[in-house]
Amino acid sequence: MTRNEEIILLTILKLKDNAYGVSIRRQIYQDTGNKWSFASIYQPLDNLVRKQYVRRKKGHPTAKRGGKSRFYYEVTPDGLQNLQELKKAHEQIWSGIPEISLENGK
Amino acid sequence: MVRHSGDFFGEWKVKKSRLAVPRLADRILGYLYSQDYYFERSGDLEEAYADLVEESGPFWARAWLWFQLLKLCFGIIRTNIFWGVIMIQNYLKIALRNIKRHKGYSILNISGLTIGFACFIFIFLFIRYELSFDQQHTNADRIYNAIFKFTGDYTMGTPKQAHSHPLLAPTLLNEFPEIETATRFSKYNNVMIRVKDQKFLFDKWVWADKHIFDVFDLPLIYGDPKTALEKPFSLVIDEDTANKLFGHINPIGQTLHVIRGEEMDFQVTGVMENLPSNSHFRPNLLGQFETQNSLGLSRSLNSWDAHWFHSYVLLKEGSNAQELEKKIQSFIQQKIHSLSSSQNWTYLLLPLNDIHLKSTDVLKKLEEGGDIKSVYICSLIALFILFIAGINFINLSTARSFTRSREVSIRKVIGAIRLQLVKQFLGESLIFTAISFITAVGFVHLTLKLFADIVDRDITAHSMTHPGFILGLLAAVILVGLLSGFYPALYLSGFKPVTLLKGVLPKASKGLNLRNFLVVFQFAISLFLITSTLIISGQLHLIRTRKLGFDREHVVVINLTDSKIRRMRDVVKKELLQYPGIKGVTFTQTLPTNINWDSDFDFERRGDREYPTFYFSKVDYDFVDVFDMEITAGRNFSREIASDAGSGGVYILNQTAVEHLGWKNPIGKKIGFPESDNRGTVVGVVKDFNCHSLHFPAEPVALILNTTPWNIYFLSIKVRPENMTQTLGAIEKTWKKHSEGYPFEYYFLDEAYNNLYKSEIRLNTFFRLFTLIAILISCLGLFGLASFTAERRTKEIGIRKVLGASIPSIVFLISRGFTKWVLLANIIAWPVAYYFMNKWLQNFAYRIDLSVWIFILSGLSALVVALITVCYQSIKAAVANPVDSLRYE
Repeated sequence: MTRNEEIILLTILKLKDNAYGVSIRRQIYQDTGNKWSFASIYQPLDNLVRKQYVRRKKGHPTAKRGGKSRFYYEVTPDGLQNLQELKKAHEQIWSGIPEISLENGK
Repeated sequence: MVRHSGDFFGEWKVKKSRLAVPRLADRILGYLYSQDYYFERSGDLEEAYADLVEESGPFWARAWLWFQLLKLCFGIIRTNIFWGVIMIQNYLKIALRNIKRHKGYSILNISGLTIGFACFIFIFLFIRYELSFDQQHTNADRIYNAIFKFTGDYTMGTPKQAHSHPLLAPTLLNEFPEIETATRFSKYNNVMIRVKDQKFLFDKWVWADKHIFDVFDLPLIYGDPKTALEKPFSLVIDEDTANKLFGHINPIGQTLHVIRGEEMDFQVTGVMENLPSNSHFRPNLLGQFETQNSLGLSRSLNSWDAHWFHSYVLLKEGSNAQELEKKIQSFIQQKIHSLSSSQNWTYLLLPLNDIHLKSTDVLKKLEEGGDIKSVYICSLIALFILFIAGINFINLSTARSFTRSREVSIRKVIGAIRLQLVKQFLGESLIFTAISFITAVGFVHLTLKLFADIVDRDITAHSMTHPGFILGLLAAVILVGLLSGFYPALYLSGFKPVTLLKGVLPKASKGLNLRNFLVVFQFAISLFLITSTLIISGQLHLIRTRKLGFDREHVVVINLTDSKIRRMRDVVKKELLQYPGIKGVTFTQTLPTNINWDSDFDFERRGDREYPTFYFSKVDYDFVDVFDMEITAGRNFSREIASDAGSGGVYILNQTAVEHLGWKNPIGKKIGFPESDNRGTVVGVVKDFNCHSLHFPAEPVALILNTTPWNIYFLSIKVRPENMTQTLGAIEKTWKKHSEGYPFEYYFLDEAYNNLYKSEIRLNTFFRLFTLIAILISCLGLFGLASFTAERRTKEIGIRKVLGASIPSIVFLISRGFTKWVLLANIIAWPVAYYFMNKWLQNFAYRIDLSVWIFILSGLSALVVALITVCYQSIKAAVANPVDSLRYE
């Protein structure tokens, strides 16, 4: 899983039932302060779908979208399991690095 | 990809608001994505866009939207390329596997294409070389060669000669402001040069004036072009000659001695670069023009009587050559003719660029040139061969469709679309072409020298590295690859997977479908080539065996410049005749195969008739006997008759000459050169003989008895065919004994005769070679097609056999179809071959008849070759056990 994929997966998890293209992008902006392009969201999203870490679900069309349906994403058990492993690995790697050396850059 | 409009079924129809995404952007998304992805992404963008419009206004929102779209496009292109590469790898792998698994087929296919390409490259190189002649001169398009032309009642082969009057170039330069500069030079054959105590023989010496450097690009390595040819007895030599004579030093100022009777001393004043081989004139030595005055030529150098120079003019930029030509012609008529002994001539201007290829009708050129016709013919052959090779490829590929059909079906079932399959097969054909091309280039590289020998041109591998050449060939390769891959690709990709997986091939349409048409076309080309080859060979046979009116067998010829031998000719002759192997000896001005001196003649009771122009040769008493000519009236020259050696001279005319003079009884009549008062007597008439190549009819010739040591250029010795080496040894001994030191170099008259037909012989070799190749490639294709037919009809043949068909009847069944196509090809090829060959034969005054048998023979031979090719497959199919063939599939 790439870093982008990880961020998107976590965002979907955070957004629960309301994870679709626009909301994912907005959430990422709120969390990181970076405005991602749609292209950089769809690419990891498509990869995640192909790996079956997330599932695509058709929602309802709205007027604001020119009458087109939203497609919601939700994390699959597979995806969850991967996230857990990733988190564990992260913690493992991060453990033992004292705050002090991070701040001083030593 | 499927395109959608915004109002797809099942979706809400919503009135577009003012804020909606631009329609173009929406459409692009429709192109980019499949249906439900389109809804998602277009919706997302529209939603975010709507938010942004509220936030920062429509302009920025729009800009943002396009930016997003652009990024999406890039992302998709990247992914596509990624998968595209993976598919290409797959195609490549499959193609290579196919090549490996079906070795026989691959070899057939690749070798066909390789031969095709190799021929194409060869011919391409040849044509490029032929067209490159004389292009090294900066002003090539403004240089013109003055061509002498007889006007009026002209009776000889061609009225055009490259020989011009010595005064022509300076006169034209003075008279016409359009001419920037003009130069002339004349050949000086067989020059022997002594440097210290070493002797060298040179053949390519010309007397040139200093303007030669202004007209042509002849860069000097040493010396100054302005002064190099200023003083008499100065000499410019080329690099090779300099190295030969003086070694690798700067030879400026060195002295060399020319041996011609007494010695003349020349000083080297310049060294020029070697002229490239694709140049219509290639002198090694340039002697200073006025030096000729010291050779006793001063009178003829300043007259309008004789012409033996090569004159070139350089026009000023923007002047019109055709207009100038007219002006020159009227100027000559008004001002010059009165100065000349004869008035029946004028001049033409021939562009330098045309000298090599477009001057076959001009005699006495500096070097024998090529022929634009042979360039056309060769281009045609090159295209033909490439065409045949391409057709072959198409036939072999489709012939294998059955084997490939399962692969196609599986691919289709898995989800390949037709375009992908087309791409796959096109790619495969490109791979095949590329492999063949590389092999062909290697092959050409290895055999280039051989080819250069065959066409007698100095073509080197160097010319293969020319960028235009490489680009041209690459274009040809890709074109052939695509064109020949196109039909198989469409054919194979068009299969219906359901029927194919059941093992049923689509029915072939009866009648003239594309494949059969191609075979007919292929055979038509081969047949055209076979017929042409037969006709060319026939014509050459005629040339070789035709009686010319004199005997050209067993005659040893030595080119004579040696003044000592000329003076001692009677002693030499007597000595030579003592050898038992020698039947006769004669000293002459020209050989009977090429009498290239001509003059006007004045004759008894001419009245006010024009002077007739005859070819003439000064000969000695033995000429008629040595060449075994037939005297039809009067007598031969004779030593016994004292008056023959008298001052007026005696003549033997040929029949044509007598006819032109209109004499009933020519014996005893008077004839002579117009400018002298002496009139000779005609003592005999010889039967007509061909004094040039058979391109020309028999021409009027006068043989003049010569008892002086002047005007002798050839020593011809009739020998007995037995003990040739001994005889030659004896001749050499006599030569060494009397010569001034010229090396003993001889050749046979029949060689000289055959050299007159160099271009025809080359054409014949060309045609034979390429006909063979064309037939070979066509047969490869036919072989493939036959196996295709046999395979498709396996079941039918099985059933026929079970029902009692005999093997011959089945062989006949399969072969019948092909016979039909070959016969059809005949009908196409015959008229085309007849048309072109008839045109070619017009070049000859003596030609073979185009009998029906030539055409039938070529048709039959093609049919036999085709049947043999097909028979292998049909017999294989016919003898197969019906049990196997019925279980087949």
